[in-house]
Amino acid sequence: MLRSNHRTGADLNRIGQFVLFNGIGIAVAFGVAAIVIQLAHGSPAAALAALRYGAWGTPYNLGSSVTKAVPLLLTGLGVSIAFRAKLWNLGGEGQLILGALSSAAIGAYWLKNGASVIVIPLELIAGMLAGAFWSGIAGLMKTWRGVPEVISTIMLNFVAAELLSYLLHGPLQESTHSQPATEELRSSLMLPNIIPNTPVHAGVIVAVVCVVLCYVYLFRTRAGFDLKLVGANELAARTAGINITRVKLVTMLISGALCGLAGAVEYTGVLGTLYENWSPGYGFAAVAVGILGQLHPGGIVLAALFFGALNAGSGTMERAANVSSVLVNVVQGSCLISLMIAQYYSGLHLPWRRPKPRDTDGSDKIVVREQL
Amino acid sequence: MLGIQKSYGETKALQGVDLALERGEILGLLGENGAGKSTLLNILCGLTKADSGSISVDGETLAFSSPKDSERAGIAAVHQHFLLVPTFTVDENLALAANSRDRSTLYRRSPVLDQARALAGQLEWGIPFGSVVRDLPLGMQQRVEILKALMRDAKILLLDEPTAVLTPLETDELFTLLNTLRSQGTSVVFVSHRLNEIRSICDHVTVIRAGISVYTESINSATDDDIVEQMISPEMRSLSERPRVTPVRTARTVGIANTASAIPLPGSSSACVVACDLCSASTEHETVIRNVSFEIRTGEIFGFAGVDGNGQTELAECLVGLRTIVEGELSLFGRASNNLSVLQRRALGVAYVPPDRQQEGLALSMSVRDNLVMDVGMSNRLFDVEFVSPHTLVRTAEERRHAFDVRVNSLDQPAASLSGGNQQKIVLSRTLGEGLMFLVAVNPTRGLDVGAASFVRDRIRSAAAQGTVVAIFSSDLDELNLMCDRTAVMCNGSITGYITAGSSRAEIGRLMAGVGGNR
Repeated sequence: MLRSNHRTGADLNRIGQFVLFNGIGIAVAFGVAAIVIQLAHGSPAAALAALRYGAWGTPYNLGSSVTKAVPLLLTGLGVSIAFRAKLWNLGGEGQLILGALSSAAIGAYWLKNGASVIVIPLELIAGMLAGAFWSGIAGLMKTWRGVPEVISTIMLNFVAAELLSYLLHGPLQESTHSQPATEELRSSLMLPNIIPNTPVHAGVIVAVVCVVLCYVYLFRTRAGFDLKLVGANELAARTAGINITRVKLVTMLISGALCGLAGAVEYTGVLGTLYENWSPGYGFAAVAVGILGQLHPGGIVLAALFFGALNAGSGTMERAANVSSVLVNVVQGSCLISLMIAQYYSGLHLPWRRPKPRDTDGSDKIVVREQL
Repeated sequence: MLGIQKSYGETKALQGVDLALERGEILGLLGENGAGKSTLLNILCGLTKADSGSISVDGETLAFSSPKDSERAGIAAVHQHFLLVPTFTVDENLALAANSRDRSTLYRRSPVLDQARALAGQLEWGIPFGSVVRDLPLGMQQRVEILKALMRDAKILLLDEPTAVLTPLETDELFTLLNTLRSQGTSVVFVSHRLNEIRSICDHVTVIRAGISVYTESINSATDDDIVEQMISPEMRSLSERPRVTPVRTARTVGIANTASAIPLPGSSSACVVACDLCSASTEHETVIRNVSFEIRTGEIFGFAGVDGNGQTELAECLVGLRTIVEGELSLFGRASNNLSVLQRRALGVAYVPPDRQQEGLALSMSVRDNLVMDVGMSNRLFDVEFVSPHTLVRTAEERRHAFDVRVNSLDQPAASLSGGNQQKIVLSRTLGEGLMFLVAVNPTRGLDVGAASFVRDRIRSAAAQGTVVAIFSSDLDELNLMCDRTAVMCNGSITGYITAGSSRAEIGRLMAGVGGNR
């Protein structure tokens, strides 16, 4: 009966419950992973120790975890803001690719000799605009002709991947034409490192700012309220006078802009050059990050850090414990499933789960006699 | 059933309800919103488990752990909010309901459907079995629900506010059906807020107050005063002497004898709402409003009566900006308003109480607070990042909650957890605020108990007294009689006539059916 009285419990109680259940979830996930490692003739203890060391064993490793969390965090925020409005933007990957591409077009080609104070912001802005453009296509099709965004955004992922491939073999190929990659971005036009001896770059600050902005937008502005209302009950929102079309379109644009920014930050902060399949599917992992973070900016930070740490630790695990890094996918998958189950039973619910209607009110106080 | 208790968390919904039901008897169940009527019915039909107490049928004590147990005991229920799959056809819903007994793989071949048609024929109900339930008017949906219950050969039928969505004619038909069932030995529990209905159909009446059955009496020996007295909790009784803003206008209800004066005059004043030859179409290009004209002056309460699904809701939507006006002219306070959005009309002081609070009025998964302040600070800008102070919202929500006495444990609980009456109060609290110029209300007191309904009516009257133009669409003729200065009857998208002081029920019925009338 833990679920039925969660709304009346104190906040502390809820947070405690949240920690407890997620803790159990993670423990179960690592238990499953240990069994799989055992079955693969590895040593679970050594593998998990290596995973831990790789994730936060040294300041460098910790920084690496944080850095790897950044694109997940930004795309996670992006898709979550759309999910809040019940817009299933599954095109985070395509928007991410477009963001990185336009960032590269600015930084490595068009303004490659520009001053970094001007070019770096432009790179990020170009990424956001390109991402918003890509999701805006789906948004326009949705609001104008009712094309389901689930399908259009997925399809646009393929278009983006092919566009990347074309550009890498054509207009944006590096000058020696020896491999399908973009020109190397000048290091002065990359996001500066902010903590010496770690890979932590200024993109972390960008991500944190975005988290705060998303929180404020969702919970402190009228537009954010409209967005949630459209997600909760579109008909009621329309009846209340909200312009549904506008809310959906703006939400898609914001969602795409965040995903595009993720691409730009990853490109200017880490990669410096683009090649085919440079993204290991950040835009898809974003869906898992968003749902695990319960579509809440704070939760998304935790979820992104968690996945970032797993990613960072997996390399070490492979090297030190002689366990295939594919097993990290097993860990990630089992974490996702067990955490989803844990959250189902913990106090916090996925926003689109409709609470069970119940009568919790007593009798009414308004009492005026009525002649019938 | 004896000593039934049920509590939800900190709230005790039921704390000792005794109920006795004889074979072939109709028992009226009365109580305020949230007194525990719905909870009690849920326990009886196995949807909820009682914490303590016992239920016995024919001397056999039963423990219901699922709706199946209750069905086996011969209990069937028609709920206030229908349990139909809206996207399924009537046939599919019936087959679904019968699924536990009928194992035919092809539901279209199922004998259940033949049985349903036979039963519907017997009752002379024209039910469109092939139609999708979502598209049917509420009255029709209810018939499907009743049909479902009857097909289970129910010995005990539970009806939760069955008349709330019915027109007088449909109510009469329902009562005829209930009388037939009674003579066949079926027992019925009939929940209603309308005393006169209880009086006309029930044998006994039981009053529940704050989760306790406080009063049971044969209907012939119970007076109206007794019953109302019992419903009101003693500590709240003093409130019933709350001063009224305006006197009840029961006497001046019934409008005008001469329909000609209801036709708007050209060059109308700016202080009123004028509709001239309004036409509107549904998405299938099917005309749903045909040449509707009326004029409502400031301070006037204008009623629209009619059988559900004859264009009333659509007309209301035209008035508030949710539906496109295809032809004709709508003028709000002297301003041509055909193309104004909902928001622009709200700026003119238009407010709307939608017919279905759960679908159109509330976001059930959001908190009570969010629902109370749904309309605060709305603007028309493209990128609206205006900050809304949570304190202002909480204050506004608290004020509205207080003004309409929405009973909640916390403003943070989801709106879905409130009873229907309290949900309706949230919707009303948003509309009956400051700056109200034109109120469009569809079934504004649906699901409210006697006290709350009266409170809402008083608020509407006092708004009208301060110069608000009011249009009430209701399927409850008594309510329209009680409230309205004039009442138009709609049928098939047009106004077929006006109810006058001398109109008999039969005449009104003819107007609603679109035959004859005084036009």
